[in-house]
Amino acid sequence: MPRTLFEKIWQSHTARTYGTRDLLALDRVFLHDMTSLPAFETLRERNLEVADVARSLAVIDHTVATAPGRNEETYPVMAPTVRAFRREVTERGIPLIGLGDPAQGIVHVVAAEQGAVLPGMTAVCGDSHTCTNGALGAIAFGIGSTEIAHALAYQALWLPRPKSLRVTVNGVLDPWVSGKDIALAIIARFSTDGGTGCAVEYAGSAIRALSVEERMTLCNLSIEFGARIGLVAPDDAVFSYLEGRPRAPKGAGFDAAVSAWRDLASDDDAHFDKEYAIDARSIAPMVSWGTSPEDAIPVDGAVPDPGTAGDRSQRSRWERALVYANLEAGKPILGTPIDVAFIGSCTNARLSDLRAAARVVDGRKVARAVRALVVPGSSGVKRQAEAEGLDRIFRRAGFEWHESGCSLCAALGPDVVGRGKRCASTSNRNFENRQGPGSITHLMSPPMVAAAAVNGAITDVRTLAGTLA
Amino acid sequence: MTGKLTSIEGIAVPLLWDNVDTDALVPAAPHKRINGGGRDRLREVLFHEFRFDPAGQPKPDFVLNDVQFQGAPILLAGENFGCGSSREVAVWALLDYGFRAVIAKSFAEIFEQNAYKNHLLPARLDAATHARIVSALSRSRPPQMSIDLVARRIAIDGQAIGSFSADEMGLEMIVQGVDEFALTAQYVSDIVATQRRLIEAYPWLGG
Repeated sequence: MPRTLFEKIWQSHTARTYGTRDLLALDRVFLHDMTSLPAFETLRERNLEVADVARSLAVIDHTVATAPGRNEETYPVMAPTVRAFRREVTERGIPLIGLGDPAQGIVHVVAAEQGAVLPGMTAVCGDSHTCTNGALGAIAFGIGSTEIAHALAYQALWLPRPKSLRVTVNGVLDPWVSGKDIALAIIARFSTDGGTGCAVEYAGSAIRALSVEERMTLCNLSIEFGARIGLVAPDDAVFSYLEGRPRAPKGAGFDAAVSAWRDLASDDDAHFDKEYAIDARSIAPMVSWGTSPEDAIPVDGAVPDPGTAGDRSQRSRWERALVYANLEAGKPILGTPIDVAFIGSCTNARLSDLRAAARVVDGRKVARAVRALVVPGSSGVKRQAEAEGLDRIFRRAGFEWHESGCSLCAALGPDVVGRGKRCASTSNRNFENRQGPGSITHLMSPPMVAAAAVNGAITDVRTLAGTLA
Repeated sequence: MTGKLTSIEGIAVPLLWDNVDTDALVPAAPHKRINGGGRDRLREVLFHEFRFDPAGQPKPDFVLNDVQFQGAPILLAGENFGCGSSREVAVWALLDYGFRAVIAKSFAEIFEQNAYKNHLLPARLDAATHARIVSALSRSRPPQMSIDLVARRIAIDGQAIGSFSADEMGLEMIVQGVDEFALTAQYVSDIVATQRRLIEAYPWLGG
């Protein structure tokens, strides 16, 4: 019987079925400082131990400062949490990558860089953007704190079996259109719960042509599409990405792994419960206007009129979003002034993201009154960017150059946008108050944020780039 | 954990927005300020930015501040409730505030699973039942609802109004007052056998 990529991995990891749920064996459990402490409490209450510390990895990223010179004590509000997290994982012998460690970074970025997630794996973390590393051909998904405790204790979880959804993107992308724009276009078209209950496989010629890092951006946003799991069949690009990573197999072991990984693809006549398709050529650089990731439009589009909404509840949601975002229906989004430009997060702060943004910034200046910052996805990304001179390009233009962490994506550390301030952001959520109380977020790709920083307003990077030598 | 739960009765609060996200349920700034990002005093954090203005005064037009809905154990929502983050504090905050059930047209997946694990009922309604409930609630002061978890039926002011759907295993855990840790303990040998089979075939899956 032909099977999807998702079914192949899921079925091989199913230890038991009970009604509509499967007991899924897990290969990796990742932990971070924000959601893990209650899981350790649960383990204590129930007198349970961590089943396999060697298959867990803890990273400090969410609640810390990112300003230059920071350490785990810099942000006093959350320092006790970070301290407690460090103690809990260290006591149990779980490997920890904390601040100051050369491998530190945002957990999903670190997991991939370390080769800790590999094709065919099941991996979990108490963070909804765990789906990022589905880009490597793994089933990776976010879980709650009670599930973290269960995953640590049993190296398995009871899960409803997801439906399968394939999103096919064929055609050639405009050079200024990236994985971020594909994701926002999909969510805008099929809605923020279009993938709910599904494991999404992204397929088609445009997906094949994406770099591994862009696939990570695309898979990262699966949860904004409602899907806990998003993945892409692994190919040579993924295998070369993984070769030589610290936790990836080596030598003959790597060759054996690659030959097994080549089977990780949906069979030609595999059945998907749902199929969506989108034409790559139709996708423009995208920007969000409202308070849900589905509120995204082409940058040369207009803010929608609630009068044209599909139904009454959408109309009322759009009306509230317009008030919150302080925008006028029917007006072009182009030229909307911004206060903050943020390049960071597990969505868009890998090396290729920084390179793409630096290309736009090079030789230009950040507009007066705009606070612009780059928060690299990992300390490794930061070092590599510095080796290439990207930090100098950003600093010369007036960007702040930070240490790695989640920063303005979730405002769980000290970094906030400010009340009533408008942020062009490479992150993943434009929810009300997401980037701090009263923050207004416009999601876009790294080059688009760079262009907005330079012009001090939402800009079509294609027209700005046209002036580049 | 709580004991068996077969019915939930009391006032239902309508908050009919779609896509109520986890940052709306538990916004980061007040969560950090009030309890340092922890688990206590979450009733103060729930919907904080909607309940209070920047000066900390209650916003009179927000439904949870309406006096007729005080002490309500049931929240009636729209579509895709709980979307966004995996933060389980979103569920703990609803429980701490006094809610025992959220009924909605649909839920985000991680929120829904987190709800079951904490015995907060996430009851799904089809569009027709949802519309009937919305209209019945608007006629009732204060709207008294009862949810029968065993029969999966909902009544308003004693009148049956429709049924809800739920994840079978999740609902069973709430009704029986149990959780999956005990169930899993019976199947440890299956997990171990599966892990062994996987690692033999694919050694790189090991640590």
